[in-house]
Amino acid sequence: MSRNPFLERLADQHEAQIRSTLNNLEADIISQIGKVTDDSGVLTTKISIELRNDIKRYMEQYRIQADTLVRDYDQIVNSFMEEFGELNIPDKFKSLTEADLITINQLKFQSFSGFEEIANRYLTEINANVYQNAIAGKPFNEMVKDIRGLITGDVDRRGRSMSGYASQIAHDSVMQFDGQFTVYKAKEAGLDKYKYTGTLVRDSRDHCRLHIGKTYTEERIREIWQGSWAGKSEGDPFIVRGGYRCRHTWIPIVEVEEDEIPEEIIEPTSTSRSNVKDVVISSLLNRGSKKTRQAYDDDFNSQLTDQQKTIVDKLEKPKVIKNNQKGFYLAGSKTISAQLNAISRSTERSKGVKSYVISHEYGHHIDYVTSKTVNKAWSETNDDFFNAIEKDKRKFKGVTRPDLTGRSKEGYHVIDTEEYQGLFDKLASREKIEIFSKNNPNLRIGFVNSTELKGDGYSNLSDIVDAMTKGRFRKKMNMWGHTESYWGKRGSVEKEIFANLFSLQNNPKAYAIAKEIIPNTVKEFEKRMKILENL
Amino acid sequence: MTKKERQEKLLECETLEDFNNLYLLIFKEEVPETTILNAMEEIDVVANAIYDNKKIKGVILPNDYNI
Repeated sequence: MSRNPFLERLADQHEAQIRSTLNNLEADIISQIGKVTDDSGVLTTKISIELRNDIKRYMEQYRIQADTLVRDYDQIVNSFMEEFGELNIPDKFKSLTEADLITINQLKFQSFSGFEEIANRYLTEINANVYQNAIAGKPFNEMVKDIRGLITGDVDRRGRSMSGYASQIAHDSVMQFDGQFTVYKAKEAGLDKYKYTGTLVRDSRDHCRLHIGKTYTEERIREIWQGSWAGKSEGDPFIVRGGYRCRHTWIPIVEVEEDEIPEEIIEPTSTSRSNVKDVVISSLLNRGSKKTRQAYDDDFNSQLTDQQKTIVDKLEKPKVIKNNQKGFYLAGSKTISAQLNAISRSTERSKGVKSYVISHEYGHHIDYVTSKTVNKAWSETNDDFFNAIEKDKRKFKGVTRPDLTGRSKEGYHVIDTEEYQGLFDKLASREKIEIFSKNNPNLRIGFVNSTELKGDGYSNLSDIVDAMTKGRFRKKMNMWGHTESYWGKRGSVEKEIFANLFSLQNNPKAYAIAKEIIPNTVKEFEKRMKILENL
Repeated sequence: MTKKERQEKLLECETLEDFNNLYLLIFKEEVPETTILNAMEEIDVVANAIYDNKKIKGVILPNDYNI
């Protein structure tokens, strides 16, 4: 029997308890401010400073409540041990050891720290708010509105209320503590398979729907959890599970065969009608079910023009292809790593757009295997391609300096940062979002201007612009690209632009933008493709 | 830099460049190579490193590694 209903109930109870405590805290603070305001309802700055001790004292209510909640986690341990005791494992693992008790205390302390960080942050905010209002001579009623906005959020204000954060922590800490203790005890007993359990509700994430009831090894879980899905929370899969407020848990399993990745994860890729037969590269995949392999071929072919299929078909194939999250091409071993149906999304909340990773990495492969220079790609050795990039850069406002390598007679052009905004606007829009702590997903640690790409393949376009600016476009505009150190590697600019053009050729909209930004480079690229087609 | 100072400085950062500069100021070294292409994703990693006061474990790319 799963302990999920118990955990869900406990998480809900804790959430309600912390909300109730914060309601009382808010009432106490407002009442105290009411007592010390003068007859005209205004607070002096001197008294506002003196109030800090009272507010701190009231905040203790919250800390005491948090401490009580964390102590309640013993119930989670008992519930887990009851279930664990029914497994076919040696008896010595069925009881708690002294080391277990130390671990439990450490986990509890960690959970309490999450609550405490919220207390410290909001204590500072409340004090600052009261003092600023005293300086501004705000009337009592206005001050009450501010306090309510800060603590319970009953009055709208910018940002999230203390109650909003604390209640989410109260909920998630229960599930996270359970996840951490589960994996700790399972490992101790030498178990490495886990079943994803719990009930599905209307709002359950697609990711949870897909994996619920499935059993995987720890290694496989970590692999699957590297993917992206709506509402994902970054962190250890046993702790974060499906994401914020996820109600699902892992239970250790003994002697059960692991499941394959559910077939539903493999979304069919629509392929356009073509006169050239699809190319097959799925046989090079190091692992994957029949359905995964078919989907991989479909995804790859959907990214290729007929001309590209012809080129791929006639040239030497990579040695091995891996369906992994990280996209790369290792020229020495002719290894491609590229994720099936890859998506570029700025944050876990955004829908994202298609990223042409398989064809990009395959583009690198084509670039290398058709080069006449050992260990170098064609694009990095061809002067016409190099000079076309330089010529395209000079279309933009900037400074041209002597090219110390002597490769470009007309000099090396550095595009002015003033040009970035215009290029950005072609590719993306901007939205201000919050950044949260990885250790404490409820803790906001900053704000940032997030970028939303405007179309499929636009992360590849962004990478082209980033190549021309050697990483400055990415870091100044929060876009897609590579690090400055990567662009410092000889040949990286030409190789990445070649691979990006190869990946974009079958997307008319994105390819048209590429032509607009780097027309001369596209011409050289197309010349090369023609040569390869007729090899 | 104290934890409070780091938190305050983090709130002033808006672009990956700002976060990278703050990382350099705190750890006296550049953000290492992470192979992350999405600036937003890297900001998340850098901001957390600064907040937790823990350096990022970078990767060393082989010469024939193309991302």
